[in-house]
Amino acid sequence: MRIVGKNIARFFAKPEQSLLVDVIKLNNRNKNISLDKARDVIDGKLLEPKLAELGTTSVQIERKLKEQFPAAKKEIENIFLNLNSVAGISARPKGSVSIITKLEREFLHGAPIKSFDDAYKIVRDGIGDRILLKPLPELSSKEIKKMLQEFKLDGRELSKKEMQILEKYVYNHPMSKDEMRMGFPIFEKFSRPLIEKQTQQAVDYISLGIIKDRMNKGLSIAEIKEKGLLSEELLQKLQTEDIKPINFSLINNYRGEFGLPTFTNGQLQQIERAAGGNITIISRPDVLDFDKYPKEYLDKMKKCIRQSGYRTCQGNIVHQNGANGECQFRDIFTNNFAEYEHIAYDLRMGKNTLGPLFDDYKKEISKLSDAKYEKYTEYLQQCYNYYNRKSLGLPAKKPSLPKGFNKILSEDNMKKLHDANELRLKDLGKNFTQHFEDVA
Amino acid sequence: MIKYDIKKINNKNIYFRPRLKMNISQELDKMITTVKARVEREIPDKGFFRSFAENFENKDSKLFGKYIAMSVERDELRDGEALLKLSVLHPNLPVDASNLLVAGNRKKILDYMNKENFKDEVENTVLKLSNSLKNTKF
Repeated sequence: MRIVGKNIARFFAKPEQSLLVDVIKLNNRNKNISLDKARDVIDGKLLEPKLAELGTTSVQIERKLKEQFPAAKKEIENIFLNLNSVAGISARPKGSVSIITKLEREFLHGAPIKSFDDAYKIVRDGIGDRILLKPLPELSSKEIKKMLQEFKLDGRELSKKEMQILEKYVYNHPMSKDEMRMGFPIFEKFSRPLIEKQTQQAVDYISLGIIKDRMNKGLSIAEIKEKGLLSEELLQKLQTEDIKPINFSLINNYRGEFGLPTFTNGQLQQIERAAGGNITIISRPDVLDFDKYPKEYLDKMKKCIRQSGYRTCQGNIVHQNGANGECQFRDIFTNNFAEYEHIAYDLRMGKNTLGPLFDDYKKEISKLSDAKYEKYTEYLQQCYNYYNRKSLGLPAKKPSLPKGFNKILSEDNMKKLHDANELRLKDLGKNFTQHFEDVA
Repeated sequence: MIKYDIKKINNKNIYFRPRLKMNISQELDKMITTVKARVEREIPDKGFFRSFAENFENKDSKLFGKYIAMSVERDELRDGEALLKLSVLHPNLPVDASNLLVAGNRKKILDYMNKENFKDEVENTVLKLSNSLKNTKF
């Protein structure tokens, strides 16, 4: 290896993905780093030697995460993999290119980086775990009818108009935006038993894991009983099963404008009770059945919800070995769609790390006016809702690409591009080894 | 008399507890008083009740958050119980960060709110929630 210009070289961490590093510091395991925004940033960009310093730290963080990864992965698998409702778990340590992107963005937004530890703390999703939930069996028309007949809204019968809208929602008939706005809160309450059927086991073991973690820090069974932190059934499990601890600090319940949540409000309440104030929940206050904030203000803000309908429940966790991680819960259908849904958003935001196969798609996306792009993201939101309905066993009609859009933008084509790109990357990775190249 | 080792006192080990500005502190007092009265009045021993909240707009530019709210949410799993929560609304997004303060029946919530250090806990939680919103993207 020959290095041009001081000690800086380009480190290829993955095929087609590289970052600048200081090779001497890397070889000497020198973890010193100190960035100063006033000194090291010009025209909104980090100076090259400092970028190499950040690159070095990113590679060092990647190496640390790789060491922490096996135990962290095992920890999550021990808790969730054997549950009947879990289809599988995928996990990965974050790579150095992704780490430097995050560090640079956060530093430019004001996060201080004066040491390796500062940088490590910023990478809150260092270990990414995805718990994939099984879909529910498709509901028969008889089962749906029974559910509709027995459904009560806050303990009362539905009016004729409310029932008509709910039926439209349940059977996935076309609806106007106004009908959707009116019907969505009812549909959400109607769907709660289905959501809970799909995710309750995961929620129970999150709650139990949180309690076990607190017990390791001094919480007693007597306190759990006295404060009512767990239901009788879970308390029984806690005392008879080998429960593994889990340390969640924050849960983010993402969903689109008319998207059902991954965990219901009642399930979040269960987790909050178990955590006893040690967990922060980030969620949408506009979908609660009471006004927490002035309604007019929230209505104004609604336009800022990510229009694609991105939907997941994710929590920041600190693994038992100290590794920072992000644990996501999704059904498998939603997860498959989420793998490629984000490409439109990424391209629109100017990220171009998707490879040459996406060039034609990119051209089409860049041609869309803002109004047309908004319409396109509504289509993506409908796709999210379609896969979610399917996973809950509800009637679901696959949305078609609205008229006036090039077929290249269809969901089917996005999937094809994504799959082809995965194969291409797999191919490139076959003979790839991480290496340094000169900086010309 | 307590003796201090002056050599050990330097800028590194003196901890300045961040405090909220006076006007927020007063608003919090008002909010706590109103919520307390509503808990007394609106949480029944048993049966359905509507969840409720009180809020005020944050005008301190140093605190990240548009509104601060204290809510009493009906416990969906236990009859006659509620969750007392504190929340801070993101300044630009329709998302908020919430933290549970206490869960239980009317008496338990009121006892908790009457604790001597309750206001301190509320202030600390507001600061914590405001910080957690800074990293939120939606």
